[in-house]
Amino acid sequence: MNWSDALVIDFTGSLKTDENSRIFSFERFDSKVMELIRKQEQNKFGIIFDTAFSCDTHSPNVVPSLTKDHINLSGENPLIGPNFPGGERFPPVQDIYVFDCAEKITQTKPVIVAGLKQGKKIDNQDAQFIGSLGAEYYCFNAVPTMITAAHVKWKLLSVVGPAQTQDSGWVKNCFDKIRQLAACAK
Amino acid sequence: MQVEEEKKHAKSPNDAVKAIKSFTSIVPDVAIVLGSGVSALSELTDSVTISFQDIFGVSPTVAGHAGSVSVGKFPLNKNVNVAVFRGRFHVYEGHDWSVVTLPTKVIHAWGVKKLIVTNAAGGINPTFNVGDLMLLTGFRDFISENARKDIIEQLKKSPENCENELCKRILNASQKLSEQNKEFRPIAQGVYAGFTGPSYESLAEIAVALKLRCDAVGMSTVPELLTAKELNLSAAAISVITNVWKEDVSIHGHEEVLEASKAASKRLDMLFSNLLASEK
Repeated sequence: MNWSDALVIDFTGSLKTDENSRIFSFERFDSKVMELIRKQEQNKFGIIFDTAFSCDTHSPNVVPSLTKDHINLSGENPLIGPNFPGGERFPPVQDIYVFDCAEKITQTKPVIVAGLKQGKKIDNQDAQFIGSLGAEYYCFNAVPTMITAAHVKWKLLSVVGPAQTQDSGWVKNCFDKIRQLAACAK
Repeated sequence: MQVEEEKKHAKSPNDAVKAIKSFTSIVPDVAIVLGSGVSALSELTDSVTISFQDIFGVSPTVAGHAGSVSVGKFPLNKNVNVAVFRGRFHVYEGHDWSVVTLPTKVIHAWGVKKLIVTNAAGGINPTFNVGDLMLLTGFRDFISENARKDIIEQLKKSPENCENELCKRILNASQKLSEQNKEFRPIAQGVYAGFTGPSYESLAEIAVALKLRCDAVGMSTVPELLTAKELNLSAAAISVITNVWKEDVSIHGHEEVLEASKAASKRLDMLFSNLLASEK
């Protein structure tokens, strides 16, 4: 799989927008992110970086991890409304994540993330409840971005990790490893 | 059409009934809503067909959801008047909740006493087969405006029960049919999880629905059942199982749903015919 021309969308604040390198930094998922994805061709590759929080209150540290699946708990879906003609009305989302290279990029097993509504605050009990549904982490931007990308048939490397205050270097480390893998694939 | 503009064009339930009455004086005994690609009761006697646009002032936008209402007499029992709604308004199309629930409000305002809602659903109960019919004994609401405000709280609730006298009559009709015709598989029963869509569920979301002991998932029906309950309208719902989830089989899309719906429609037609033949 060739990730060298992938579109990079960063929600962590670790990367700066550089259109020539196809890197785009956003504070949060919104219509601008949708427009960006929809301006690209179909069947492309995307790399998403998002901040995540642990559902395990006994082990609150988040370790950078690739996403293997998601549970949308936001009550929202970015595709609600008239169908964007670049994609099917009812897109499947089951085969979108690429995570077979997880250990080369993050040295951890891939995880299931829950997507919550922007700004939603949850307590430990809710975090544990989300964990009991099967999610390791929860986040706010990766899931709607993924659904938007699935609609135009992209494949995604979605990497989640701790907030910058905990570990500011993980995005750059992971991104370097992805680039190295892309170089090897050439 | 934008949501606010659509709301302006949508008629009130009473105005929609007036619009219907300008086409027909028949007041149905039973209203039946047909979901994605589901066809049944295609031949009513003395019937008139009216577009959703003419009745509601707005129309749905999805392939397989034509958006019309046929009103007429049931050919095998002309004492029974039937309205067949082909299509519905979905949340995923971007319609306002007031529009999504409008047909049920109109059915009630029209004076119809019984409502049967059908849908195309994905089976997650491993005992289901493609083409099975499932009578809803309960449902989980992840579609309504209230539910979507806090999905986490919604997940903690028990499913809404929707068993009633009409459900019993559907089960009896199914039982009779399966005794008379060995090819008629008896109707299954189960809990339906209604999600907004329009993207299909992820594997992890299906696993959640299984943990919640749901048997099928879909993107409709919950608005009708919630509204019928509010209005004290007797309502039952039947899912046509158009694909059965298995870990190693991915969902292929809406074409697959429409194809499976066609095959199951024959059984649904038999079930409705049996049910309506014994009405009144």
